[in-house]
Amino acid sequence: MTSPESFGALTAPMTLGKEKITAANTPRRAYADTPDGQVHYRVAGTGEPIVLMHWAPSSGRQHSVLLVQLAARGFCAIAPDLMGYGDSDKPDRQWSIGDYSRNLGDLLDALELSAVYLYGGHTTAAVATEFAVTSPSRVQALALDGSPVYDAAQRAAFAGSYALPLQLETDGSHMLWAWQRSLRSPTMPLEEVFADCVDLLKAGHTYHTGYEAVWAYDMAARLPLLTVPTVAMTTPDDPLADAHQQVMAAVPGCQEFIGPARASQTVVERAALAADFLEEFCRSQGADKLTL
Amino acid sequence: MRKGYIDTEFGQVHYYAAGESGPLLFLFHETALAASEFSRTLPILGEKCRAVALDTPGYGMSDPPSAPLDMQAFATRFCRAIEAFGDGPCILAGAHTGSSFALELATQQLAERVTHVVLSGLALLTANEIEGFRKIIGAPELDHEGRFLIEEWEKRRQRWGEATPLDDILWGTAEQLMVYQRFHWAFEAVFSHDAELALKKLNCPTLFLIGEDDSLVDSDRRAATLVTDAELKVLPGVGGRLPYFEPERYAREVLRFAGLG
Repeated sequence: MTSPESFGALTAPMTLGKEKITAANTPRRAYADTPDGQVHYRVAGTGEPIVLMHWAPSSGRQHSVLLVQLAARGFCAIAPDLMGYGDSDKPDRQWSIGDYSRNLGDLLDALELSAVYLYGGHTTAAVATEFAVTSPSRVQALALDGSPVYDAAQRAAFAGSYALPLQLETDGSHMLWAWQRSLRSPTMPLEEVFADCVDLLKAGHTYHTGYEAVWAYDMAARLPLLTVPTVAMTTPDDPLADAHQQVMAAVPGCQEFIGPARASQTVVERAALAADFLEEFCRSQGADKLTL
Repeated sequence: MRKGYIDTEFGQVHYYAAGESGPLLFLFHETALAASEFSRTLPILGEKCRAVALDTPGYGMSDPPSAPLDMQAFATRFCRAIEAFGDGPCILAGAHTGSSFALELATQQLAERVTHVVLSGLALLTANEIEGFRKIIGAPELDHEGRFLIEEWEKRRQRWGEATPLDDILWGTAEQLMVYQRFHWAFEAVFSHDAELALKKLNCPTLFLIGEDDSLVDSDRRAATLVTDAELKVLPGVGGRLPYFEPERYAREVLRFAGLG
């Protein structure tokens, strides 16, 4: 049995480091009922719960390989689809970062998880931050992988120009737009571009809603309020690398992890690196259910 | 309407469901769409029955097999998922390829449970036609410029009609692209299925419900003559993907036929 995630990146069992990625430990998919609708999520493993939030406009599929890697290291790794993305329900109005944060709490309630390790990046670095600020007892430790920290003028400029609502054209040119938007570097494998492109098309008319929430969110004002152990992650080619020092300065006692350029690694290599780091980070924050 | 997964020994089967009471109604989508084909009609069907639309293994969010399956193997996988919803009588309904699955289950694995069958485009193919299809279907090649995406879009617009709302073209294109490597696998099951033999075995009331402009309308006309207890209902002015584009009419006809109002 092959995983539905195998758009070409994983078509045969392979080994990397400690674990063999086989059908037996591919993520299981499920839905959780929240007051705002069904949240679709992927889950792998048992043990220390860690929630991995995907970047807009992708879905939890972004973390399929990482979920498996973390499961092998003793985590119960959960990757939800943000509402409006992937297979989660679509909100009935434009949400704020606060709304996404509330829904995350509702998801944890549905899964009967009182506290988790929490990882977010780009759009979801904002969601993860807001959740950790408003519900610190539910976040054991926080990893922010690229944070959208912008001043009011920058955010206003983005709101008028970046991630505008989807416009369908008779000639299908929006399909090319979706493809080009997904082609984040010239060395990206075609299957990866394609998988991201399909996620974008699947989000369709709500693909922009996560960004819209970020434009309205003053992350710089919220970061200093964090009281949970936090690590700021970045790479040389992260589009949000400029904000890294700002995050380091704003978050009390912030740790740091600088990874190699994403474009220089395969999906599996990136996941292995992230899994190694997250295992070490969580262990240092008291995670004692991890395998040795 | 809610979505969910059934865990089976063959992997997970994804479904949409609506309705809290009444008989079970299982719906099978066409290739290469998904259970979302029934998303508009399910809430209406759910008023009178417990309606469940299943993503065929390999399509939508259901786990794929490792290779194309024949009809019997697909049917076995469907059965595992269907069993999870409980025992008792049930109605089966299918659109295009889904009709073939419904027919197989109604005459074989679920024969003792099925009270009514609704088929919308049951393909009766000759050996020549099968050979012809085999020549033209296959997974598209990814290219660096994404041009094949435009081709998929354009092909769908041609097939579905240029008046089709762009949102619907997007939905259909995205569903197929999601499974592009194996989008044609269900056809193999249809090619391996002796539909004529199965039709002659059908011993429950069967409704052939199809749009006048659907590409398989003549196939349904012929199929209806092979079934002992058949009703043929051809809807004037209606094309393909009847449950998606005419959800109220589809639901009304199915419920009427099943004696549910």
